[in-house]
Amino acid sequence: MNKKYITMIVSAGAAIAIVAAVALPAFAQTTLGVGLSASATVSVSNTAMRARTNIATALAARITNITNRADQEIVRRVTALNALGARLSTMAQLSTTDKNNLWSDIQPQVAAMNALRLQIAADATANNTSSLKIDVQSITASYRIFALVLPQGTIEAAADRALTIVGTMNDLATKFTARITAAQSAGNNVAAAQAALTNLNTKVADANTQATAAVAEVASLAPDNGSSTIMASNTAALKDARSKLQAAQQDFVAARADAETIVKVLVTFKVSATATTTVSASTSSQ
Amino acid sequence: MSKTGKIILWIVIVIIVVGGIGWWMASRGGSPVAAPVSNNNSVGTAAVPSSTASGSQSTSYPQGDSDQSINQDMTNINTQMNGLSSDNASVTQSLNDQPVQQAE
Repeated sequence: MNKKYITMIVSAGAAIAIVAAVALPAFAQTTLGVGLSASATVSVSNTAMRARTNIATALAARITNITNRADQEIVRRVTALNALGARLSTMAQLSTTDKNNLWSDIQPQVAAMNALRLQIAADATANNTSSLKIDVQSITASYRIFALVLPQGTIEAAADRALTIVGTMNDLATKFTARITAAQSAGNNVAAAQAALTNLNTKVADANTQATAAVAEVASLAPDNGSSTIMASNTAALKDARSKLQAAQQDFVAARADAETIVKVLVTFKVSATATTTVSASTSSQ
Repeated sequence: MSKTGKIILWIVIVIIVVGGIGWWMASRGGSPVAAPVSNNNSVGTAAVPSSTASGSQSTSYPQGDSDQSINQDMTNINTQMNGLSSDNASVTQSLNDQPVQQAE
């Protein structure tokens, strides 16, 4: 009896254990499955919304970024070209033809950049990304024109100023010549002054040659229209013209030093004239 | 007033008048000696001489060769050379120009 009860109890317990082992995980899985399904639906819905929001935000940020970059470049170019145009109006030595040619390069660029700026702003407002892309690409494409016109204009402006200095130094040399001649007639030793004047004239003549050549070298340059060969030759010409202008500047520095030397010598003559009889020396030089 | 007193009074008046005229001429820069000295000092320093002094100098040398004219040329050259230095810097800057990179 005892054995029999024990066997029945153990069998029942085993059966319960087996049922429990099979059924409980099933319940558990069912419950878990329902929970997953519900949260997945909500989660997918939120993710889609967030994704859509993120895409829209990213697109807006990207459009803003593109527009800002485009605006910076356009404003930078327009500012530089306008400054060059203003400088052009003050040029005194360049030929009218050269100035007109330069202006005809500057003015369309400014107009095109201003129009492009308005177009890009309209693209951004309309979220028209395809048009925006094309317009922004045109900024990069037109850079080669700007990259030629700006140095071309600044070189011509520098050359114009160099030629103005040449004119003023030639006037000064004429005055020095008269002074030195008068001092020599009065019996003064003018060798140092004459040597300085000769050197001054040489330097000024060279500066004139360099500045004139710089203008001639860049005046006829044309945009490369995508040709790397033309771009290379343009760049070489611009750099060579810059070297000429730097040489002219060094000539002026030397000529200016010669002028100082001449003035000092002339002052010495006049001081001695005052100190001695020499009011007559001063008078004789008149 | 005695005769001696009158003479002294006249002498004083003459001295005052002559002294006044002399002071007036000196204040106008009319001294024939002072002007050249003044101009000598101004040549190298680019100072502008007084109008009377420069007028005196312009008669000393051919037209336009006054100290004032030379000083003015030197000043103009200095100004223009500073401008040329700035212009050359602009040329270098324009040759080294880099565009703002555009986003794709």
